[in-house]
Amino acid sequence: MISSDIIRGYNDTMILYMLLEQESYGYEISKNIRQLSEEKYVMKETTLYSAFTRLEKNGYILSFYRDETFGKRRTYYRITPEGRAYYEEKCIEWRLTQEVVNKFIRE
Amino acid sequence: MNTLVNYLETMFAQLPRNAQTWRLKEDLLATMEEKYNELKAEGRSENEAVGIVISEFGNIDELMQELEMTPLVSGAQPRVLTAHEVEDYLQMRRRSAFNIALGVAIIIFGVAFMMLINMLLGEGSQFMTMSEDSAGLISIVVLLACVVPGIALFGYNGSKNEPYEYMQRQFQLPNALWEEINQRKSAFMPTYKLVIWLGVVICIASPILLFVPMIFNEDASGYGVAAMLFALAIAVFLFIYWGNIKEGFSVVLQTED
Repeated sequence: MISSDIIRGYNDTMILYMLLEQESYGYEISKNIRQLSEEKYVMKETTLYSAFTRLEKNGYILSFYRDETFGKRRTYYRITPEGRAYYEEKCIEWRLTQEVVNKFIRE
Repeated sequence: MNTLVNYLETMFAQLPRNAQTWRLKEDLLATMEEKYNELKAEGRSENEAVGIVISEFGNIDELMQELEMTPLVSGAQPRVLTAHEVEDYLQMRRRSAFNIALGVAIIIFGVAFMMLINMLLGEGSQFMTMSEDSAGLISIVVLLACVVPGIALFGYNGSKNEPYEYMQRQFQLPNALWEEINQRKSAFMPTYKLVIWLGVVICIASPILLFVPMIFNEDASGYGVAAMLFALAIAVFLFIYWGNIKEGFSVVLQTED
């Protein structure tokens, strides 16, 4: 399991990635992150919802209610154009980080 | 499942009660329940499922930092209001809303009355003719008779807010009370929406009253103006009275809408 300290700066990026193709809700996003990381990373609930709060405050995502079957109501999230731009920035940043850190990693 | 609800309640106990934390708690609970149900469906025992969900909850401080909230235990504590204080405040808001709404409506009524008297007693009236001076005098007296009590209602109102200064400072509601008031607000909202809608309809339809008297008599347009003002006074009363009651709920619940 990866330490959450190392990955902190990229939690937002992971969530935005999950929203690139489709709108989604808390549990689905968290489950997809776990599956995509092959069970190596589990995002804690408070981390997930802190990220939602921060992303929404920055205008990167929008939240809205959607009625599900059986009368249940879920909070869904949708990425904004600003969110997509921010995601692209983070990708560039990560490639650079990786490139630099790799120089100091012994194979 | 109850364990999860209790766990979340305990975690949120140190956070202020407001619409944001309430919604956050609902969302978190939904996510945790879904995770729990899926673990159960995978064949985990009740205890295992609850254990996993709680172990993956994380740290409430992380959320508090993001929400820029300080835990309620440290430093300057907001005052926790009693049900009695909240009830007093809501009733005061209701009374003061009524006074202000009535005050404004009476003043508009005054202007409408003045126009009506001018029409009834003034030049060219079919009921009785008076000298222009005395008709003017009576209409001014009527106007003042309405404006003075109207303004008096505002003044009376201003002096009654002082005992509620605790609402101006940081305060907090006990969990159950907050939810009770929130439910009362939800029950009030349909009436509020209906009343505001009615007010808007009155405002939109009121110019029709301008033209109705003119159908019967070309010189009667003054009656139309008076009738329109009467209608607008009613609409204004509805807006102010119900708007302020809703505002009272928002202050108590510390929500912004």
